[in-house]
Amino acid sequence: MEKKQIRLTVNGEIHECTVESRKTLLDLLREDLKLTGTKKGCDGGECGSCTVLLNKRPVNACLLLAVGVDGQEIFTIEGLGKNGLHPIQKAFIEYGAVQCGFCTPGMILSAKALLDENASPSEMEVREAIAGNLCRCTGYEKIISAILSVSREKG
Amino acid sequence: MDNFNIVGKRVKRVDGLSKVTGAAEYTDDITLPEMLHGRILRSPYPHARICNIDTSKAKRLPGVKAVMSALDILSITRTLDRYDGYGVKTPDKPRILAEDKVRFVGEEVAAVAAIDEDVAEEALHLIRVEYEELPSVFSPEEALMPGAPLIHDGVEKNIAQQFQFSRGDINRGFSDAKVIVEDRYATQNAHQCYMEPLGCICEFDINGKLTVWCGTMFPSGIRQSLSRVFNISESKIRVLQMEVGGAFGGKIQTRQIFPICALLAKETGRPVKIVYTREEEFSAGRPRESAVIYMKIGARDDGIITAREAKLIYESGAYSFIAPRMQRITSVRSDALYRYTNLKTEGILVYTNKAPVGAYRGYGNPEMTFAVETLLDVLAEKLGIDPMEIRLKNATQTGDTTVHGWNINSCGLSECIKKTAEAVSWKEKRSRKKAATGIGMACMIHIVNPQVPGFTGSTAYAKILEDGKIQVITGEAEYGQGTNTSYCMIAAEEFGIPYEDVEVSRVDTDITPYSLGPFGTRVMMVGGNAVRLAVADAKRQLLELASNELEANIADLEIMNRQVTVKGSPDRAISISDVAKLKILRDGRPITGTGAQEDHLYCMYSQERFDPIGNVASAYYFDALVAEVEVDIRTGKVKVLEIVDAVDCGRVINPIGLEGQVDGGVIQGLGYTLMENLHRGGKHRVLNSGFLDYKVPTALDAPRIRSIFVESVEPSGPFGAKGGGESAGAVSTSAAIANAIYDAVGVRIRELPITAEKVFSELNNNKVKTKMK
Repeated sequence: MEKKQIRLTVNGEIHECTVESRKTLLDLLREDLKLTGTKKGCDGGECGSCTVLLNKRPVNACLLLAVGVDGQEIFTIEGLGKNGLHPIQKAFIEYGAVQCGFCTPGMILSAKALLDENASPSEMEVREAIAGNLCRCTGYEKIISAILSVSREKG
Repeated sequence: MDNFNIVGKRVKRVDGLSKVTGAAEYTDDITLPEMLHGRILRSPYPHARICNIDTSKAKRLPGVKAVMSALDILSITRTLDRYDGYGVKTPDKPRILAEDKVRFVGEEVAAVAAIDEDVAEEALHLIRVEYEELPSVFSPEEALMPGAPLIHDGVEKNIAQQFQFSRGDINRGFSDAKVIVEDRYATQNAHQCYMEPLGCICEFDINGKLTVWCGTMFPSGIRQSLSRVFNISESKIRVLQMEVGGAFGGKIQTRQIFPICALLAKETGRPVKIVYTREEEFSAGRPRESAVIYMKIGARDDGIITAREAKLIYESGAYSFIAPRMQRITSVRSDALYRYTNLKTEGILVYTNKAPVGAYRGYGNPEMTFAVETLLDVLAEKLGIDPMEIRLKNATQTGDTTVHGWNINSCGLSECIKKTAEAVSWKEKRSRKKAATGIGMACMIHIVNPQVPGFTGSTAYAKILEDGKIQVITGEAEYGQGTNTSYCMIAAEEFGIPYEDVEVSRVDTDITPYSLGPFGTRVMMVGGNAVRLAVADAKRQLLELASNELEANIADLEIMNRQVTVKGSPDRAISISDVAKLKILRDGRPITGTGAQEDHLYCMYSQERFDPIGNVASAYYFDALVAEVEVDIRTGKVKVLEIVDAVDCGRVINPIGLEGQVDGGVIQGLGYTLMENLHRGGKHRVLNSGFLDYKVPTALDAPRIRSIFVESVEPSGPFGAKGGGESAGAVSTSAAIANAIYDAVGVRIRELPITAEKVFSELNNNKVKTKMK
């Protein structure tokens, strides 16, 4: 299959890659860039484990082709907490919002996208923002508490 | 009220940092040099003879390094062992790769290893299998009929197991009853839906030693199973535990992926990785059993139960694996909830041409509790007794020996019932009616460390490192539920050091002791005891050494602020790390404590003739759960507003952890009750093999969840703990919600899941009036 040259910014760093046209952004991140923090839970856009931020908006990386995001800005979980944990990360630890951790990267990024746009969301708005991130361990209760605690802090 | 330093405090998880940063490594996150990717070819038919398998075309595809079917693995032990049946014998022989027949859609037929997943996938399409379709059966009724096709040769009526037992005098019990109620209940297959699909990496080194990287619940079991498959000694197999993305029972068995992956690794001489796709998990995984339960209960007019009769008709799917033992345990477990005297129970387990069922949180308890606790409400209504009161009247108490001879050394059931009722203002809410809103209650009992043949204890080591920190070495694999955090807390409490000074090392079967893993809610109590004993032993050794250095009697020493000091003379002290270093540098080895919890209780489950008398577990835990629901009478849709769950866990070690477990249990219970179901169609393949159509609760479905902890202080548990994370919130949810729906709109659904269609249909068929204020 034909390979294409693409260039994207991931967590502030520019990457030039040569990929087959059919390669998903998820596979590019995990296989080519070795950024395995973004998880593959279903590879079909149904679970949210692969949530990354594309130009600040949360997307399922498994539903995007790498060639389709040529020139764009991607933000993954590895981009967070490089210089000290982000308040969302701290809150997740504090509130016990992490159990197996598989949904956590995607969940944190969905939360970040929400809080960056809406600093004091209502509980319903939090639930809606993470409705596309499935979690089987926590029952969502502590995840919601953690996210709300950050919004309260920010004012 | 005991004063603990760490136990019962709200702490941060030990693995929180690695998980919130994406640093935590799960099986699919690692890549080894020269690694190949494996895929499995599965049967498209529910029942068929395999006439021929031609792998030649697939083998010739560039990039393919190995293709195998049953014919290529004749020299090994091709039957998947029944180790995970824990001694219960049944007539079926599950294979690693299907031989003469396939018995369910999705059964493993062949496997491929190739340079990448795409080539492997393409190779699967090039494998030519000739099948001769056979008639199939998809329900116990069909399978039991005379003339029904036999799934396993010579197994009459497709019966995997059948048993019957009685206690007391059932006829007398029913004749003593003022009121008798009976009903039929039915429940569905539900998948564990852990977010991380199961995967593994296998590699044989030049000396023939096999290393397996995987995230499972039972590393020791994988090692044993593979040793049997390859007929090599366990010492030639090393299992390295990765981070696990949830399991809930679904990752405890040595599923086919393990021997298949190892075989491909052996054949190719390269590491091989196989990860199930989400579709494979849904369509060919091992879901919770589907069941039909007939139940009949009789009681006196004061509400005391006099007799209970039950018939459990379970489907095992095409192979039985854990189902026989699970059904046996289920047939007796809920009998410890109330003070039964006269019982009769029948059980039958039937093969059908569906995927074999597997272990899933509660292990038979959810459906049985659904039946018992719903019928109890029916009984209560007929007697004119409040459902809460009838439970209090019959509840098991501390010190009871139950009808099957179980010793209940700690029981907070009554307190759970009262506390949860108080928390929701039970009496008030039941009498003051809000349109289409109702509350319902259900209780459950679960076993801590149910016995298996042989050893059911746990062993742990505690090493004191140079810096005075403790390294706990245990084989009890955590899969996200917080075990390691609890072990650090137990160790810190026992030793007298800060919680941050303890770490639990990774499970590596070359180093960590043999262990049974987290099933039957055992790792808190049994594993925790072993950790406590190991740390206590290490402390004793430390104090002995310190007493020499400080020239003081051991009895006069105490540990405080990371030091060993002489009581009353704070200037006579030596740091823990100095003592630890002394041992390492002077004697050449670290202080290592050993903790052995050696349980060998009576194991009834693997008896040839199932005769359930005798204490079968280390302890028993209970909960009482209330659900508040709102029913939309126009559509039948049920919204769960709140769940309150009071759990008797003995002692709370890690409150944030246990709350989290209850939260998660409730959501799984809610999903099972209202929305989850594996739908089959066409040739009985699973139609909804993805999260779009297999509905699991999202953040929008989650109700408010409150947990209340009742500490009955189990005498033989670490600091009185017995655990609770498995079933608290997960088992009593169905009946509580069903009872609440009845309270709300007078509709009783006896089949799970309770979908809007079912409620709507009942509302309109019966023209039942909504209860008004």
